[in-house]
Amino acid sequence: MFTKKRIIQFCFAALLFLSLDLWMFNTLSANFRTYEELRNFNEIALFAQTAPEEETAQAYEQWIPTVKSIIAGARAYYFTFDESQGLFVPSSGSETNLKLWNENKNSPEFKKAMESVYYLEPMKLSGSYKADFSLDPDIHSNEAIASQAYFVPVIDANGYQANGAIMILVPNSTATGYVNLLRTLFIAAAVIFLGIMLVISFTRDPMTGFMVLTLFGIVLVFIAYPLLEAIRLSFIKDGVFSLQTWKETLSPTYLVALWGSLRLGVLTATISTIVGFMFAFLIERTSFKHKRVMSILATMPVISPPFSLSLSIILLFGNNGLISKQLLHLNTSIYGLAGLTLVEVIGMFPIAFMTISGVLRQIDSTVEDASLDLSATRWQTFKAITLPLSAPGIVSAWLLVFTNSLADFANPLLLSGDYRVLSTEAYMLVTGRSNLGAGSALSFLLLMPTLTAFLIQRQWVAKKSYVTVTGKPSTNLTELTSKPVRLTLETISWAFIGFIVALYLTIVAGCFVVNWGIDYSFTLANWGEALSRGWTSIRDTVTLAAIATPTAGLLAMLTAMLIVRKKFPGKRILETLIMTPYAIPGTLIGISYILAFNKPPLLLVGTGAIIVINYVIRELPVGVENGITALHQIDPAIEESAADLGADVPTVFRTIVLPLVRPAFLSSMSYTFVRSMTAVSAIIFLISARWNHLTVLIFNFSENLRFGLASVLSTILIFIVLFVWALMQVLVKDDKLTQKTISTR
Amino acid sequence: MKRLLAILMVMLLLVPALFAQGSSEPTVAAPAPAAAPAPVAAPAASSGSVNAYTTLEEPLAAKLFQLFEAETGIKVNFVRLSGGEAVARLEAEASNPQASIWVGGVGLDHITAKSKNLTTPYISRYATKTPTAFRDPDNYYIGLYVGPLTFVTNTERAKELGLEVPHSWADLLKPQYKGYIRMANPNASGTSYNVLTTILDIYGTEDKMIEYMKALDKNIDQYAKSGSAPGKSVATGEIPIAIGYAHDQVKLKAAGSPIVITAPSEGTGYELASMSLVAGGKDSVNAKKLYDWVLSSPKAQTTFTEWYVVLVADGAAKHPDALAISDIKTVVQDMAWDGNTVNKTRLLDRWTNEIGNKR
Repeated sequence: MFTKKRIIQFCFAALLFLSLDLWMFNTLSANFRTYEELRNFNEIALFAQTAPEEETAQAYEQWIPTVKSIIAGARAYYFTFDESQGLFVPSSGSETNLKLWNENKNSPEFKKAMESVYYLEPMKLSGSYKADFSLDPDIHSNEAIASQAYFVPVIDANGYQANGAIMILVPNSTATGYVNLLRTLFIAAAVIFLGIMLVISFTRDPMTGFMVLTLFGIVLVFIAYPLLEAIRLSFIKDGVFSLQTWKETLSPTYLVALWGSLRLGVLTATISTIVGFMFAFLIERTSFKHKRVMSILATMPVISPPFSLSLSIILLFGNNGLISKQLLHLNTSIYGLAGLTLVEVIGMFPIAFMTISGVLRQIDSTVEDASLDLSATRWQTFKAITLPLSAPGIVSAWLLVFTNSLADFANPLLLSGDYRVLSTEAYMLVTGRSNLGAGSALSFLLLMPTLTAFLIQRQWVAKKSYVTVTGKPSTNLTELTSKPVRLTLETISWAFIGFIVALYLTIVAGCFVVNWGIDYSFTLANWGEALSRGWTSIRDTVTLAAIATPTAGLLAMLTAMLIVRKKFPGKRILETLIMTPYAIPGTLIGISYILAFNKPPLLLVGTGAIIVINYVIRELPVGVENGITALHQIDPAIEESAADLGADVPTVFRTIVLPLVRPAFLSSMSYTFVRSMTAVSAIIFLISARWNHLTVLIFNFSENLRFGLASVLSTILIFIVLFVWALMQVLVKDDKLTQKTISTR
Repeated sequence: MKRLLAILMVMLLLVPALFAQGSSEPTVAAPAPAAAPAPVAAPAASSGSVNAYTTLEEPLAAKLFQLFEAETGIKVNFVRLSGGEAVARLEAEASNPQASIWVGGVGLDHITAKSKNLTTPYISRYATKTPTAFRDPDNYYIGLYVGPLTFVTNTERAKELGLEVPHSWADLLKPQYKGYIRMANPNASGTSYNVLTTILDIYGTEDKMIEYMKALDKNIDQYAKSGSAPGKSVATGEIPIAIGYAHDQVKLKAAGSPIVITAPSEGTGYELASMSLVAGGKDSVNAKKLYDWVLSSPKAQTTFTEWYVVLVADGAAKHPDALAISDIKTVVQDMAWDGNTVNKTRLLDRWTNEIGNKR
């Protein structure tokens, strides 16, 4: 691979390209600098024209500061010409200029400038000077920055003589923004070119190389870069480097909240995984009759518009709830850990359900049959074969729910009571005390447990093989449960589902009453108002989600394939980076995106693209995780044989991998779509006047106690998602070969 | 597979639309009401758009900005954010501001924005109608309306639990209210920070303020995470008593909830909903037009009063149900002191360490 010839070839090509790149950059930036100088001179001329008619010191004192309104960030100083000494002497103006003048007035460059002005020629000093703008701060410039200095003569009425001179400082930051942009672009060009060269020169499989490279590019730009911006923020206080923020963050106050988050996460993840496994097992591995209905009902809670589940829980089971008080006369509080766990389990067990059922469906029953044939009991078979085979699914389900719970913010906001979790503490720091730095530091604290859990899981799964799809698919699944067991599972599931349906009916019922909780009389007025007010938001939300969904789905499967099947350097780093956005509270992602993408070269704030990118990046982890789990079960031999027959990587991906991981592909798309439709915490920082979001409107309506309108929009949202799911089932064609029927023994 | 690819292609065609920013959007045909009288002083040729952040209630903002567009032809693209979110967003966007004006939101948040150099001074020719007490001496922000802190009680729940309606800050400490009062966490909400400064103004020293808050803490059921949330919980009967701003609560009463609003007899603090121009905003001319219009247009003022707020400009209209600031005993508030970052951090840290963290 790394032959001498190739290395020399590569170095030569790289050298050629780099020198070309450098030359173009220099030419362009030099051109621009000339143009910039000219423009500054024009602006200065414009400023000079506004000089006061009467030449009194007072008039000049008032006029000099107006330079700021003509050239942003500039400072001026007026010098009078002293006939007796034949010198320019300071008169009035900005302290910043005076200081710089006093420091440099004897330098050759300054002397030359004074001479030039004496002969009525304006001059720009070559080189830049560090001027201390903190002496005379304004919004554009308030610290010591390198600046360009200009000297312009003030000519007397006859036009013969210089009555005085004006020294103008223009901070570099305004002048060199374009050059910086140019530099970034050229560096990016060099990096991309070298990357491509590297792949072409040194790999046998350039397609994979390019895909890995693209993936790295996406991850670095849209995950690592914004996060670095946020990290930088947490180390800065009042404009200088400081560890103060982190000291505060690691104080007992927030460690308590961290502990709170962890307890909630572990509880929610464990219960959700158990419930999710139960549903998945019932639907995928038993002869249960109402699979489709149950499957739809069990995924429903994933489509919970934020706040709406918590709100209906409060309205039904709160201190004054319909069920808890009016019906049962209970006096328990749902605020705190218990209520929070309940509502999170309801909202998040579908994630576990979807992940685990994808895995259960893939298990090849021949192994179980063998076990049963060898006269193991059903329970023994389940324990020794089914459970271990679904272990990767169970572990990743647990991990996904755990991370999701840590990052959850909408539910704790309403239901936590006095129980403290980090995500809401971070939100309070950002919005209540406008301390962005501490908010991001807290959010990073949240990352630690997630990353630890994630790394442990990777280590553990990597050691084992779970291959069961071997290219000779069996079409039978063996029923593993006896009738009583199945009935018990059914009963529990129906009870659980009944509870969820009640919550959802509360939302639907809310559409038809005047004001839930206050006035229960029937009305249809909510529909008209909600539709007229929410129409554009609905349109925007659906458009954005519709673009994000297929993108995220394909990207996730591709990533999963690369991670599971290919060997390349930096794989672990890539994987870890991809997983991080899932664990970070949306508030931080939103803020870090603004910090990173509100300046050239990637000026994305205010566009729809930033919202789509945010969706894709945030939901990628779930898709990748699903894809990895599914791929772990598929024997690479199938892909290898395709490759042996001459298929390149994209063909293998399209014709082998994608059909085989169809359930995972579908569920990751479904998940992305629903999460995009119900996102709230990051979105609130990214929406703009042009691109609004339905959930923000729902939130605003419930803030205003217009539960009716909020319910209508929530209901519409739920139906849109259901419709799109159905559409996806049809569009992503089912592969008949991998379908299985369940037989009882 | 092919069908999927076809769909993807269509999606790709949609992508360029994503990069359209607010300004380049073809203006939606303005629902210009025929009856709108021609503006008297505004230049007729003005049009275009302005990006705004607003902390007003969403429906109020929508109506207000629609009126402005009908009168001037300038489209207001607005995003509704809570006060804290607005400051956070302005700060994150400081290098390239997306909005030019921020309408509404408690004065203290505007002071925070001012202290972070996120807003810029502007002297409107209509500013003098607003008493000097209600505008920034440096002209960074200007007050629009005031809302006093009041107590709100759900009469049905109070009857059921045998509670009396509280009439003073001292009343709130009575043991009968144990676990029946809700307020927001001062760290999360300007409303509750206002409670701290009010108690400080009434009792004089910070130690006494903390002492009062400690006593009150015994009666507090939980600290909510938004200023208007406790009032809403009272409206639905979730909790019998809450502390909040009057106009938030009058609105709930108008929605039909069985509540009664009372003002504390010792005096109370108030919020000053304000307006600021964003430093470095892109369409500052239109933003200034909007700023002037909000301060001067009778239509704007009528719209505000429909939301039960009490405007501070001289001669402004008032809704009959709204609680006028003159009907209530208020404490003398020093907004600049309250909004000072050092003071605010100290008060909040004390509250957090001595009360919030102990729960």
